[in-house]
Amino acid sequence: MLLEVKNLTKQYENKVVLNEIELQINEGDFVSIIGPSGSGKSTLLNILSLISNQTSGTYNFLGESNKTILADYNYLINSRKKIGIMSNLSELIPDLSIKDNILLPGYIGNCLNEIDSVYKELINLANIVNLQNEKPINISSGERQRVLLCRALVLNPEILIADEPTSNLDESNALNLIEHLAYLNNKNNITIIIATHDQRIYTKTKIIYGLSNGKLN
Amino acid sequence: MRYGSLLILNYFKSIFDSKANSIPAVISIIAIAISIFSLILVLSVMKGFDVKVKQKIIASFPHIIIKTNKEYDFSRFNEIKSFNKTFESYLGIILNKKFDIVQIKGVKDFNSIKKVSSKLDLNKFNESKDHLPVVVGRNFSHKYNKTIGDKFELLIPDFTHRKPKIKTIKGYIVGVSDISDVNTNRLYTTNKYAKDFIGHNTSFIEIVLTDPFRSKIVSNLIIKEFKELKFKVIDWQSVNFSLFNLMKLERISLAIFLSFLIVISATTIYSNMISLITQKKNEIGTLILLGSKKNSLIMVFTQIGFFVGLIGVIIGTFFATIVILLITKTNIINNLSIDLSFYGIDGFPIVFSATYYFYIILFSILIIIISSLLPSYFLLKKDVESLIRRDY
Repeated sequence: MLLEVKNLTKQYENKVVLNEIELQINEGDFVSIIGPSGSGKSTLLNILSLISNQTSGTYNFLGESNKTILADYNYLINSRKKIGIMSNLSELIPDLSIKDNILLPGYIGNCLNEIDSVYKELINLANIVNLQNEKPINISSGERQRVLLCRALVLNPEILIADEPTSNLDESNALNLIEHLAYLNNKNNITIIIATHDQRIYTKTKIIYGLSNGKLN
Repeated sequence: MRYGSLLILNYFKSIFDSKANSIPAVISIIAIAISIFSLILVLSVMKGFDVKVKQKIIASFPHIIIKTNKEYDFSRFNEIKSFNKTFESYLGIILNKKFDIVQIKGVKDFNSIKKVSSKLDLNKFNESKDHLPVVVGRNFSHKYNKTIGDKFELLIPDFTHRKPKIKTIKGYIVGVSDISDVNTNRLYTTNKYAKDFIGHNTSFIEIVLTDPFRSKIVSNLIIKEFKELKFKVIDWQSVNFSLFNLMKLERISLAIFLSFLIVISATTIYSNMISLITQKKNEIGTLILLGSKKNSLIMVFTQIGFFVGLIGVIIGTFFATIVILLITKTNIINNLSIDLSFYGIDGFPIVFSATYYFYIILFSILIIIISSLLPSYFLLKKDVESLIRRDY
């Protein structure tokens, strides 16, 4: 089992955002977590992505408690490398070219040579070869989502966590992106977890969880 | 390109790409440049004063004085360039119906006085036994409008009686010297005439050294050789100890006060870095999410602030050096008709001191590093969730 959440609760001051969540995700799963805005989807994804901590309950990431991982900064950095995060909150760096933005995880991990072939494959797949030298300000929102997806996948992560990946996308771009994700899941057996309220997406996923009033069904 | 260099280069460029960041950055650079420029220039002038005053003292006064009536031979000391027996006393003088105090100094003979323009026939003069022959400096001659052949009255205090008396003798100018005396009111006569007319029985040996800055060492060697001279030997550095200490204290005080300018300028870098990091908060959060270590990001932003400050340091140092070179290598001060005769030193007092450069630049760089490091350190201590959260 890749991820296991038991009795997890997250509370901000007096407001319970996630209430006794139970969730198990296995290798190769394509999971969507659906729910209206403010239902706690992003909070749950932040916990699964090892960005934030729960108030109570347990979360095991690849067999290790997230509290143990979060307590050791180096361990945390290494564990995060196994997750590709695609989120509206994860910015493209405006002063870097699209190519450098995608390759950022390689720069950070000092493994640019090792990811060169993956990078080329991804930009071909995402059809953004001609955008490599552009700055983020010059690309459309659909292209931006594809760039974020490439960056999330460039280190060949075991898990892809995407928060509202089709927000701000038109019908055609949204469907295109879903096709990409489905392809990656089938071809590379990447575990994908998506938080969305876009019906076009969750109908394509293998497992659907509903999040409402902090409860996961 | 490495990750750190990639970020530094891009963030550094982004500072100067936007007006919101470039104007404060330019203000920081100018403030630091002005601070460094002022500190280097003021300290170089202060050091110049120190050097010029010491040069003047070395040129005008003996380097070691020994109070003794006995004769000594110091020729065995290699470091002693010359030594002369002399005496010094103070007399009253009446010139142009005005009373003044003058110093009288004994020399071996009148020819030993520097550049005496012309002299009276001493043989003719010696027929008159009641006149003390003296040589005066150029400044004395101008001040009192007296020249060769002029006479005046000298009042000599006589402490040999129970009730001190004043003896009056006649003085007679036999020569005018080009010597640029620090003391304008100084008369020269020979030791022999001094003994005959003034009856002074306390004399000195004046020693000039090849290296005046070794005066303390040579003094100790003399005392070691002639034990009876202990407490009678004094060198120029000891005589002027308080003056040199005062000048040093003045330099240190100015250095401390002017250092505050650098500290104040560096606060602009501090606020610029806070502003830059706050603007880039979400990007920093993203970088951390992608695996970047906080310490490496702290290093990135510290180096960006450091480079902004370094530009100011380079500009300030460059212009200070140009000004120092202009003053020392050209006649710009003379051309500007700045009168420095008031200070009694020749030329504008400024020196190029590599030691001062080193300490000023080192201090500035330390302050700039601290002011760049602190904002990055405090802001990046936040957890990644608060860094990526958008502030609407």
